[in-house]
Amino acid sequence: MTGLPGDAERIQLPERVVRYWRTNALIVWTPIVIAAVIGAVAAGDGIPGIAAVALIVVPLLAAIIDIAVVQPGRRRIWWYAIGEDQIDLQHGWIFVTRTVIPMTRVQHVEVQRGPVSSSFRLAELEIHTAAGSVKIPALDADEADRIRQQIADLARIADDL
Amino acid sequence: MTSDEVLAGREPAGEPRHLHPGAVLIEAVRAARGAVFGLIAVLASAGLVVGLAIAAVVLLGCAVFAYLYWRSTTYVVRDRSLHLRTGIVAKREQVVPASRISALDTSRGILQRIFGVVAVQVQTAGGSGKAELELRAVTFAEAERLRHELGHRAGSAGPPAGSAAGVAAAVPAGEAVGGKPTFRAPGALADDAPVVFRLTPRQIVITALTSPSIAVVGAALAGAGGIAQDALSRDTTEALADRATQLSASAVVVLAILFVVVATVISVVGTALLYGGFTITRDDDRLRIRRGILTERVGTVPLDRVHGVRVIESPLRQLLGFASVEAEVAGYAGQAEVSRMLVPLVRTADLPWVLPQIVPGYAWPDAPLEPVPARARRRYLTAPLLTAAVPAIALLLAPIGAAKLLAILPLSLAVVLGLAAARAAGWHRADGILTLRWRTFARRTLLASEHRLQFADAVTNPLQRRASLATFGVRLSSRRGARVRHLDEEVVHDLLARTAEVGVGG
Repeated sequence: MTGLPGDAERIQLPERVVRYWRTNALIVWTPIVIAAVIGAVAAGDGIPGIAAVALIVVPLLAAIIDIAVVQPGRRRIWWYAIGEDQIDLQHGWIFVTRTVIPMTRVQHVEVQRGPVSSSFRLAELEIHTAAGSVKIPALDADEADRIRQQIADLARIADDL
Repeated sequence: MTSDEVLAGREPAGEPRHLHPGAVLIEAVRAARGAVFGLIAVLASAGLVVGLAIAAVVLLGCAVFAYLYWRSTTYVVRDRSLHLRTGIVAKREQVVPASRISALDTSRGILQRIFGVVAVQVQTAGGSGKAELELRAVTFAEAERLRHELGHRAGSAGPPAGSAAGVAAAVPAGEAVGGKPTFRAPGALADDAPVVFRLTPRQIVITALTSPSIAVVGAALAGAGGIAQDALSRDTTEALADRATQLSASAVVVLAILFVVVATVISVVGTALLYGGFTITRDDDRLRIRRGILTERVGTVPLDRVHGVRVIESPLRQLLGFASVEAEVAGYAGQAEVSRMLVPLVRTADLPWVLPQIVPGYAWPDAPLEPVPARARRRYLTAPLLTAAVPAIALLLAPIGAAKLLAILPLSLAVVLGLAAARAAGWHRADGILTLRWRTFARRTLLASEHRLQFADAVTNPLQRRASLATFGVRLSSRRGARVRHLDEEVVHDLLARTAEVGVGG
């Protein structure tokens, strides 16, 4: 049976990806929790005590679970492998998707950095084909550039910066 | 202009030309068409005299606009590119290099016929469905001249697309042939090319009768009835309603039959206007699809951009032994109709020999496809049963005893659909073509050129993983794809591994 690159060696996302995603989650959840607390306090006697407690506890609990459990889980479910003929990658927890892209079908590869991801030296890799693109959400920035060059060489396309 | 002159780049620059004068009337009519509803509303509300006066002013405005449009629109072929200059106030110049043009489609509506002209739509490689630019009215000879000037190359095995001047570097290596225009010198009219498919009038009727368009027409008629009701005065409506309630049962039945007949006739006429005279001719590397009675459209599909073929058998058509065929054309994401619909109707039994004639290399599988494993079949029932559970439970909970019995209907329908889907699902690989078949409602078969697959994936849910099953999917450059669910996971792994095998030089 012919093999896929991912059968031989699978590369995981760098560990600091978890801290990066946790930081993002914190940025998103903080205003929500603050708004919930303010809402519960402002409602005062307008709503029963149970509802006020729930209004505070539920978002707080969701934020804690998201930051503590979900983000590390996200890293565990991702891997990629780059072979001579194919790019092989897999992600997903309940619905697991393994995607294979023939190297000759790659049109171009983009590396994207945001303000937060740059501070963690991470970047996003986007692989474009004629049918759409596939993204690897967070890689070591230098590794991303190296892979971009590697894919460009393998796919024999012009390097576009 | 000889081929030598063209090759040497010494083609006469040519003067910018205007569109055919008929474009003035054509454009005026187009502009007026947009204003029609507004004019009708004005006529209805402001009275006849005022309405007519306003209408006259508007029409005059349309005519003036159309004349200015005609005067300000020029085009010229220069440096192997088509330059189009338009714009009454804000000038705009569009330049399309010949190497980017994948087809010059033409269409002829009634107005164009009156003047003996055609409208030319320029399709580009990698463009979206709408034509890159359009010349609203040129003579047939002029259209052929354009084809010649824009398409002439040093033989069919000419220099690769990458060397043509002005080709954007965005043309990917994997699609090297995408930028090569494929035209013929003038004189070889499309009609000389062999006809590979023709839709007979009988088939047009069957197409209309078996297509969902009848329901659309019926809905439109009902909608029109609603609008008419709004337009009539309240007294008239009430009088009609009174009459209606006094109708006997037989009268109601007659009216219902009349409604269905009218909807059917409209649907058939509409389909005939749209697909009348449907003919496909094949010109070595190009398909030319001509269709339409009032508005004749000619679209071209370069065969090397056909990366897959999709055969669709709706339940009704499958019962009668018919199918329709669509072409997956690269770069046409939200496609123009002509290019994508390959065959509106064909006898499924004829497909084995008709299909390779139209799109060489694509063979309708005569042997049964590899089926899904036995343990996967029952999984095809899950989704339909879950969907049917909602109405079934609602019926069971109904107070009326008879309704509870009806609950069996959605459940049995779900089982039938699920089993049909399990039976239809399958795959096959042969001669560089990957065949995938599945059924949601209609049975669909995708014949994909193996080395044109953009990417493939395997999706699994926890239940599938426990049973060693996976769902295999592919995506083509037309941005559409296919999925076959619940295949054995080793089979899927093998299919994934093989997607890259034939990719060299593709």
